[in-house]
Amino acid sequence: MDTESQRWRWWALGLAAGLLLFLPQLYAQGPAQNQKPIKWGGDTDGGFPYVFADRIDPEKVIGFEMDLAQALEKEIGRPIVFEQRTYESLLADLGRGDIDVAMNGLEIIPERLKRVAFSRPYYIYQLQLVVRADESRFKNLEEAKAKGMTIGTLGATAAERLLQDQGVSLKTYDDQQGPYDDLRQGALDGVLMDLPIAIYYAAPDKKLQYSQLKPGLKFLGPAFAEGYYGIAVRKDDKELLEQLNRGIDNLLNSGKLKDILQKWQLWTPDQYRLYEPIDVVAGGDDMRFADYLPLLLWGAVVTVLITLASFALAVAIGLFIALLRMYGPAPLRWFGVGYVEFFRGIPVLLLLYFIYYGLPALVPGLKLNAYIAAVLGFGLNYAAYEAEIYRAGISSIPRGQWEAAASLGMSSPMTFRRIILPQAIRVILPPMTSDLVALFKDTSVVSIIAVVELSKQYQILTKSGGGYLQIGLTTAALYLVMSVPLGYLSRYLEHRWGAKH
Amino acid sequence: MALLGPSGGGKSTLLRCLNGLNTFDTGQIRVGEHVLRSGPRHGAEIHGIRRLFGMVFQDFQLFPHLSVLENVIEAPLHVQGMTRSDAVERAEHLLQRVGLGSHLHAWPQQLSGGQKQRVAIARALAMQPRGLLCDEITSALDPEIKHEVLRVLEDLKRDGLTLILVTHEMGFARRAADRVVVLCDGRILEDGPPAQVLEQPRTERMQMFLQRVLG
Repeated sequence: MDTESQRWRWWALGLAAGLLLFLPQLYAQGPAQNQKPIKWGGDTDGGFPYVFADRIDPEKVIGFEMDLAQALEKEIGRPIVFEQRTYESLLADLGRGDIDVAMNGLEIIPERLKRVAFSRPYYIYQLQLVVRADESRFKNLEEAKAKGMTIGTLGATAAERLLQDQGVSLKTYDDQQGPYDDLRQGALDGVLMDLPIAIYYAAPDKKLQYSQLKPGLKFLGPAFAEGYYGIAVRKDDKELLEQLNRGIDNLLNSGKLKDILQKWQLWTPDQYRLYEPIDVVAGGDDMRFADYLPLLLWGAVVTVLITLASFALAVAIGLFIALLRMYGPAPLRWFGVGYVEFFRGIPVLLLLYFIYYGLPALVPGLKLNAYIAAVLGFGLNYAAYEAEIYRAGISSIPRGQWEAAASLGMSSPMTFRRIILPQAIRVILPPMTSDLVALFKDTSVVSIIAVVELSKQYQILTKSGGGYLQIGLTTAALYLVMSVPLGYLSRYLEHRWGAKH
Repeated sequence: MALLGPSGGGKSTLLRCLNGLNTFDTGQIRVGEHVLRSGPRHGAEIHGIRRLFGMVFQDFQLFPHLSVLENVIEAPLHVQGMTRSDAVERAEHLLQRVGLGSHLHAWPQQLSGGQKQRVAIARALAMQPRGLLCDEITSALDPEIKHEVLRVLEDLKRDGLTLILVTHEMGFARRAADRVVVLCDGRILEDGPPAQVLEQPRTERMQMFLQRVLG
């Protein structure tokens, strides 16, 4: 018994000693699990080759920035967790504290340095102009500008800024794919975006694992206008900034960053300058009221024009559909019912997407201007609502009015035009006016198909320079100046005519 | 001609069939040279009959978005293609005749029931029909203003206009009608001059009906 228990005691002692020796090592291996994770914001939405969803396993996010993040994780000793965010709102999310770092091909530019701090760069980008393979009208950006060509690019990027500064006619997009699609369909004359994107979408000679190649495009001239990608952190987050800088230093010195960039075919000899210090300093002027007011006013004009054109279309189609539904023969009546149910049942956003992107794909040779697509989308959508308003208004007129007119020898179309419709208008007008107000505000949705109206203009202005509050208040004021009187008109009509019957 | 009879007897239906507002299943309707047959409507024939007969409804059915004068000139202008000045002249004359010469520019909703009904009569007359079909045109009126409308009808009859009226006004029928037709359950119960039908009815049902109506 004695020897037995003694043996156990030795066992336990040995185990404890072993644990004591081993514990620090366990700890040393696993600080990444024990420390507070760094929340990294990026946008996988078409984000080749930065961060994007793996085709094989869409749950998995991959890309050269993901590789970089994983390498940094090891250097810093803290886990880095990816969070899906909208590209345009990355810096705002960072400021709010929703994320700790923003890394998504963010260029280090003076305006951004005023709002956030940037790590030392992890990539030197250049801009690449891409055109259709048969393009012969211009050979560079200057010629494109002189000939009034329209160039597409991503919103809130250095490329957008460059086009704006040079006064090139431009169209901004929220995703990378849209401009290349529009370029192929002829809605754009060229696309200017960062070289890594251009390589993945328009370089046929590269053999890339994740290529998004759009056929029929070519690079026009060499890449130019270089700049830096850096990791953005809050200005007061000095410790994190230092950790990131040290991490990138180590990755540069160990050659691991080069390995990552080479793996994604992004390495160029220019990247050697990553080892040198950079000289971008905070600067740039805040947007002044006098600068952005004309832009917002023009946005307001576009909003009004789209609203009026769409509503005119809706009111015309709506009457036609209502007549079909009320007086048409059976098949046309069903069509009327189907129309109303269909267009009331689908989101207008989907309809706009379909008209703008889907229709030209279905009908070869069809080129739809974004503004026409917007008017068409809202016109068709609101026609369904207006048709029902017409129907309610026309049904509210007693049958006796038809009979009285008929007994006087009036034909049905004449009765409708001269007796029924003028009375129905009084019932129809108040709800139709409030629909007009609703449409007026709904038009802000059209920004998704690259129409720059009031809301989109606000987005564009704040994306680059901040100023959410001042520009936001001005935008809101413009909306109110227009919608409040319309609302009063609607209530006035309701009061004036609603009570009469 | 006065159409009498209990509710649901088919008086209004007959009147509406006469003017092509209702279709019917069997038989035919002859008005002058125009013939309406059963089944779907015949546009041209109906149109011809509507030129011969105007119609006045129990609930007036004036056009509320038009003034009194505009109500009356609407059809002459747009159906007959009259010039505006001719139509207005005729309308003013007719409105004076029904005692509304001073209400030309009033709106229908500003008028009393009796006034509205007189406008409706003027509106029907503006198409220069040979006669009027009147569907219980005094039923919605207060007793003391019924006579406004009845007086207009007697006046029209004196001028030779054919009046076919569905009515519950026994006294008026006896006084003014040349012929009284009593409808019951869709069939003619009595047909003859008022003195005979209303004072010496041949059928028992008619006697009972009269007792009930006259108390």
